[in-house]
Amino acid sequence: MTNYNESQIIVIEEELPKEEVLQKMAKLLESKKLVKDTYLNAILEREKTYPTGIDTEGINVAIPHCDIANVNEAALCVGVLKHPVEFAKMDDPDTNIKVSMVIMMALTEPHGHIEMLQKIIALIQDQDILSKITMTNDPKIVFDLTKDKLI
Amino acid sequence: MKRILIACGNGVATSTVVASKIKDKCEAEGIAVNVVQCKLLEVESKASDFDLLVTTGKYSNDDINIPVVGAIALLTGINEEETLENIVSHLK
Repeated sequence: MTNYNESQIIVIEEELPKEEVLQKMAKLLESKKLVKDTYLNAILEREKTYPTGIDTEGINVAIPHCDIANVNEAALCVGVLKHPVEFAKMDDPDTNIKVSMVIMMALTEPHGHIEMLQKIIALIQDQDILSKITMTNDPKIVFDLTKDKLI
Repeated sequence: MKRILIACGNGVATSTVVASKIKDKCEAEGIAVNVVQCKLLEVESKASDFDLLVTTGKYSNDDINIPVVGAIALLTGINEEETLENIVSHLK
């Protein structure tokens, strides 16, 4: 069972660098003891080496995650970025794309979570939902739009 | 039995999705495959045991002498079918 609820959605209105976005989201998971205190650093390092920005040719999404050793409980944190933030592309780390939604994953099983991962990938491919998600400032609306689409 | 190595940054998340889509496609095509996931860092030591390498992240290494297919399309959905056909073409 993946831990995901309205309190794990952050709408960020100000323009922040990627590292601060990742920090806010990781610290939220850490404050709920869902991840270990090593999680944030693992996420930041991972993003440098193997970035997670996915270029949809529309509303772009990043899916930061890291080794299961840094996680206590399977969980998601969703960030809606009102000012799109530059992430490097997963398939081309030298190129940046503007990302409007971050789906941070805390995973506990190697090669598991298949249903959730498939749902997340399906969501990334659904520009209609993504545009509704990025249009609102209300975490409750984001949760209602995503609860069945993510877990 | 063809052996496919599927790699992503952690060998945990995106390679799982890609592995599932490739298994489904191969089953539909009647191709028997053995699929193994790993981290991109582990590719160099493992690749020689496989017929094909599929990666979600960027990977280039001149020491790898098996075909390599980038599978970001299986995550974005853009050109997904062409990429699956390309993967299958390496397995026939």
